Amino acid sequence: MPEGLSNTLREHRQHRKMTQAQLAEAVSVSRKTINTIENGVFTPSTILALKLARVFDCTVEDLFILE
Amino acid sequence: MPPKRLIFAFLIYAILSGPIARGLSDGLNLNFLATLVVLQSSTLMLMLWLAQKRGWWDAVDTSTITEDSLQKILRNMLAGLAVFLSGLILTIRFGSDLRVSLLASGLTIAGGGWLLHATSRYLVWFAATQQNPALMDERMRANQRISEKWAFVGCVNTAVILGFIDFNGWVPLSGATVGFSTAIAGILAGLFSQYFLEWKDG
Repeated sequence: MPEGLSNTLREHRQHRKMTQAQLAEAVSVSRKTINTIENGVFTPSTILALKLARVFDCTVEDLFILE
Repeated sequence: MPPKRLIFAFLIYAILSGPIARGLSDGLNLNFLATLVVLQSSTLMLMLWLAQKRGWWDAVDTSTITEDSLQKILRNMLAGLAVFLSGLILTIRFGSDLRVSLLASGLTIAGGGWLLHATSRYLVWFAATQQNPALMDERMRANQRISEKWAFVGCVNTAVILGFIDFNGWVPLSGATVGFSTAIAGILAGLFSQYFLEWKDG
């Protein structure tokens, strides 16, 4: 993850009681991809970020924070 | 099981590899070899294009493929290649000793079989990505781009090192040796880096 970029994906997912596999299926990616985003290893594309925001019914800025 | 037409196309590809390998070892005319390589590459490109266009990938049974399959397939390809190369080196190095030669030939055949099986699984995995895009998402594409760079670095480094050795006259090397070594190094670097990246993300 680039310096200063963090995310609240895990918190949002756990709040919705979703597993990584369920979230992965909802946005058509693999479970590993969700895991790497949550751990800050992989930065998703704008399209994927928007898809994730749509699943959680929030904005991209709610999920990804530039510190 | 891949469709028959796909197997047939791969057979043509494999059959063309024979004369190239034979030509390399016998020092045949370079123009002849270059023509064969171009024919072989064109066959592969045509085969992949046809497979994509005619939807052959859709006919492949991909029920055994999961999102963790790629890592396992790459591991098997690397292991198969390692056993194959070990057997090959042992055969060349200790070919005069009958017992070692038999063992080395066995290793080469076993490694080759392992590699072929893993490669066929890789094709099935590729077919699965055509049916289910989630199996080849943006993270995996990013990993693939990185591993392609490592494959290129592996090729260039090997060619430069071998060229340097030959240029200084330390060991006389043929063009075939440099070409073959460069290709193997590129394949190994690409496979290993892709496997490592998948494992790291696991």
